[in-house]
Amino acid sequence: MNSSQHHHPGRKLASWVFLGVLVAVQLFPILVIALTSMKTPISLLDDLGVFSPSGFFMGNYQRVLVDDGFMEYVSTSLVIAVSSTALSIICGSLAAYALARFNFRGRTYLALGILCSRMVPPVALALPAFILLRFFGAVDHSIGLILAHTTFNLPFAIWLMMPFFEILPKDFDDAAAMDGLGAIQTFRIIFLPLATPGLIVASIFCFLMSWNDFLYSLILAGSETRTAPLAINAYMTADQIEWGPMTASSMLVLVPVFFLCRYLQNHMIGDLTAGGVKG
Amino acid sequence: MNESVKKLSFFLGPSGILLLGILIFPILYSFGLSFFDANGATWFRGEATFLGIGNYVNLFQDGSFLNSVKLLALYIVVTTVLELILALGFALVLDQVIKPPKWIYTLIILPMFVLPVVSGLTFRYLFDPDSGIIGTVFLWASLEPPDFLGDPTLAFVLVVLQDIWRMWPFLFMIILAGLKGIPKDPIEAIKMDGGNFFQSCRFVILPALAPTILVATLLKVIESLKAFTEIYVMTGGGPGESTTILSMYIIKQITDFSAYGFGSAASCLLILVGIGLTITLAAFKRQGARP
Repeated sequence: MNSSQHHHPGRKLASWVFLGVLVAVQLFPILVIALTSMKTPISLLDDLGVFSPSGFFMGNYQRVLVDDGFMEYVSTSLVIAVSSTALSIICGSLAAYALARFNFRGRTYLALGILCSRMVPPVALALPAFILLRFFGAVDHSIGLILAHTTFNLPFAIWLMMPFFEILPKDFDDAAAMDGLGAIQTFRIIFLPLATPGLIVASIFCFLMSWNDFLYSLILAGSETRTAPLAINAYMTADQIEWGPMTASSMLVLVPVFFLCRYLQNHMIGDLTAGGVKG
Repeated sequence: MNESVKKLSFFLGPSGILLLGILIFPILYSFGLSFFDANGATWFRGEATFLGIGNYVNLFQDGSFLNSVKLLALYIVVTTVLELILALGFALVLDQVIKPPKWIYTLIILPMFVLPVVSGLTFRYLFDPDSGIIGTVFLWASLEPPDFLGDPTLAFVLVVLQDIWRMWPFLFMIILAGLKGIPKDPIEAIKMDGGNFFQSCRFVILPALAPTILVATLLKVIESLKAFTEIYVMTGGGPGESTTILSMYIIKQITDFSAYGFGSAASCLLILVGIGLTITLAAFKRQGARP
């Protein structure tokens, strides 16, 4: 490839066709659920299926939001996700700071332990979590799900925030010592504000992981703590699958995610992968 | 208590106590449970009998368990290989040749953010025999659509396809990050000498990317060990046991058969594999693999 070919109009057209197909394939399933959420059940059986030009209505959203009270499940999900995120970020930023900047015996092994605990499959923890919550009488209470989500959020938050503390120059420690700041003040006044981008990225990821969780909800949630993903899945029963309400509720949980992902995009490549192999 | 111990316990204490309580203790508890003939009734009444390694022996004699391990291995190998090829191919073409504007990347990676439950249900819907659009497309072409999710082989293929759609962007992002770190000079030099894109890939880019590809592969494998929700809602592990990978098997043992001890034994093996892979990942990192 040389530069004269690069500006060739045919080549440019080919590039855009290639990109168009790639984007279309990636967005096709999302487009289909978006359209289905706005169609009557009958119109789905049309010759053109979900792409038939008729049968648009908002009844699925009315059904989900008004009749089925979907926002209640959304708010349960929100409470759990926000609580688990807050717990993980508060405890995690302290730990990440210590692991990144203090020298103490066993630091490497502790960091490796954090990485390992991030990799424990939730499937393997669901049963002991259920049994222990039953012993403590906390089944069907949101505290159970908050703690369960913290099992994956906290190790992840520590692991993601560590590089943000690591990259700050050693001079800051010396300056803090000269000013006579104690360890806690040094952390709170100097390092925490500088690591804010890391805290924000970690918060968004924790929130999303909690928001996405289905497995723990399936095992631990009862009627009082039904989360949004469970409510979506409940439109599938043994007798029938109600695609309209199911896709409408899916769209409702996807929208906040897409907003957050726009924010994440700039950080994703660097932060997520740089942290990826910090042992 | 001296100063540094006080300092360390302030910073590490909260996370340490939390992780001990909600992660380490439950894992040890599950490990202990795996030595008992426990089910939902006996365990809570304290009547479970001690089996020693009985559950583990039974696991390896259970055809369904061995099948679920085989399916998990197949699932991991197929998805990882195909996603790696897609991610590498698209990353090279987009980053080195087309150089599209940034918003194109946003659209391409969007599926990564779709909730697993939504992704699984969406694929179930796309291939639904009555209202699914893929079946409709077959009818447009006057073809009889196959019973996609009712056929054991096709169901497994579609579960893999779902994973590919959602997860190749994950590997794509990692490889893009790796590409950013490759020096531009050797690539320019090859171009100056009249070399083409494939030669620069072959001699400069791919060798320099090797550590990134290795790390991406390991991260993807570890991620696949957690796969559950999308399969649970898409096929429920069926038809038959054709999509019952290890995680589905464990949940079935726990919820359908209330086999607490037996399910715990399978869980412990899964945790061991996950930790083994993580330590491998960390070891590679120490050898200088850094995306």
